[in-house]
Amino acid sequence: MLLTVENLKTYFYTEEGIVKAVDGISFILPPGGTLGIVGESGSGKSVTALSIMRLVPSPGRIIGGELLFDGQRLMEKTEKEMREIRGNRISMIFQDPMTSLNPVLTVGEQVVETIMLHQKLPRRKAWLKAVEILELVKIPRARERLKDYPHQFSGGMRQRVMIAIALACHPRLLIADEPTTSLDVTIQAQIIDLMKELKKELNMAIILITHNLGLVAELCQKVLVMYAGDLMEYTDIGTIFRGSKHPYTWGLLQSLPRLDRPRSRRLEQIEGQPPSLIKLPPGCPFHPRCQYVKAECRQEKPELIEVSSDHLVSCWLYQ
Amino acid sequence: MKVLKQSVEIKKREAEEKKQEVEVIRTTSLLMYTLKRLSKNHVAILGLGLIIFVILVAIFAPVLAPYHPIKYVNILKSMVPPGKEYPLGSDYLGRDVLARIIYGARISLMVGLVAEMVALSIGIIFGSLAGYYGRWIDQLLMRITDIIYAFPTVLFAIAIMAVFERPSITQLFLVLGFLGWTDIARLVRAQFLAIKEREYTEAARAIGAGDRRIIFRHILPNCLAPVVVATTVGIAGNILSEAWLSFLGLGAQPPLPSWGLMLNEGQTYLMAGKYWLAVFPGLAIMVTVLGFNLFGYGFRDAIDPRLR
Repeated sequence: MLLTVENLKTYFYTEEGIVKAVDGISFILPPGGTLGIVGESGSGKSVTALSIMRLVPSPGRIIGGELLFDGQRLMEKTEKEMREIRGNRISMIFQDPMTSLNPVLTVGEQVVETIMLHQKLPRRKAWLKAVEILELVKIPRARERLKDYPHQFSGGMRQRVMIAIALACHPRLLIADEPTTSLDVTIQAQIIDLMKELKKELNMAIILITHNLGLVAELCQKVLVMYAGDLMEYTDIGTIFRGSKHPYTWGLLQSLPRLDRPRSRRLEQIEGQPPSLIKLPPGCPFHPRCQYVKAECRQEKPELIEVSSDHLVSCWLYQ
Repeated sequence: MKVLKQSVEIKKREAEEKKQEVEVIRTTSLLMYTLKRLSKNHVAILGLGLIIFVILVAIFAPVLAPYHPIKYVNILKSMVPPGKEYPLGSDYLGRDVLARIIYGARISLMVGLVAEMVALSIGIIFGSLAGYYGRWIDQLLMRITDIIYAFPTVLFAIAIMAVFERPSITQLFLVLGFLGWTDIARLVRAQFLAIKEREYTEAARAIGAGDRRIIFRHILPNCLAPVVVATTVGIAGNILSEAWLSFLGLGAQPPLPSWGLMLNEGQTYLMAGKYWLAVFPGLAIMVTVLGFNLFGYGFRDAIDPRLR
């Protein structure tokens, strides 16, 4: 396995109380595999990603669990060792390309910086490599564009630059945290196509974090559904759309617009709001919003059980 | 023959590649970019013009000054109004006011720049450490800043300068620098607090950059716009401070041709109608301070690639 996450717990110690942003997530990712993490805002998707990078911002802390990357325990790494991994073997793309590039450095300087942080290369070679990578992400006139500042790029082009920076050292794992959320739909499609192509070309694993199940269907083999910092369902993409078991997944699927339904019908929504992560409801965190709620749901957290091979669900309906 | 042809071709290709490499490396630096935008800002250009004028005067003082500022004394020709012999008049010792103003530019610029360098170094270090690391480091450094800030500047400067038996320009650098850094520290800290939360700082961390790199390469340059403004305004402030400290007799000492000192010497005669003794040094101070202030605000608009 390229990445094994086991019982990962990341809590934020705020003045109002302990926020259990990620509360016992486990999953595996083979080399070259693709995993989508879906869930509403505040379900702990991004914190999961940051935890893998060991970049959880204060007052958050990873308080338990195991992160195995390429056979190495990330939790035991020193900060210096982690720095060598970040951007080199695990890379990350952020949500908003408008703000994730440094405005006072040229795009080229930022790509080159990543290369030179991890590879002993003369500056000149690093620049040539930067050109190659920008061409790889299909930025026209890459050689000239390297000298431009981020504000001279459009949103889609900036996200390509972000991808270029992430890929500069040919990482084994790319974590994309809502990479298309702030882009308009046509650009979204382009970026997803690009990621698909690059994945094939570079044979890297991808974790795609999104609340858009459509994107997951485009890019991912496996899906992990998160709710309130917890894992609800984990299976492959086909099963999610055809045979998902968890009521929360059903809710997410029903809230998607569909071309094969009459347009007059309103989209279904999941009633209520995600719970406060400081005061989680007892039992299953989803029970206050669940249509199928039973007595057990209110008392005890359901175990994660394997309903069929490679299909894990945490719900009392199947216990 | 064939081999030869190939090798020639390979060489050609190599040369071509090298040419391309050179092209790639020549990027537009932030400096060039700033200068380009600066050139379109008339106010900044006016300010820069004034600054350059003062700097040139300071550099070429020996060439420009008609007399020696200190050594030329002629009691018989004291208090001569501006005219042919003394373009800006002469003082009570018969020294040439113009020559003294020209040499005074050296003192003013030196005090302004060196004191600001002192202030800038302390301020940037305090501000960036406090802003970046937060927690107790922030508390400690900012409380120190508050303490320094709470001293009444005028009294504090006077007190320190008075401690020295014979105040000198060097002490002036240190005192003004020591008093001037708090603004910069607070400014830098505030910028750091904002910028360290930006996504590009997180992105820098995600490519494996360490604290030092993030502070100096990613955050500090993004704070530069307001810091440059504060610096130029600070230089102007230092020049003014030097003037009033000298005016009070606590800065430059006679016979140094400091503008503040000249004002001090001239104010006695102002009521007697000998306006040139005070007015011209005053004008010199005004022009210099104005130059730095205008340049500072123009520069702010030019340096920030986002303000378009």
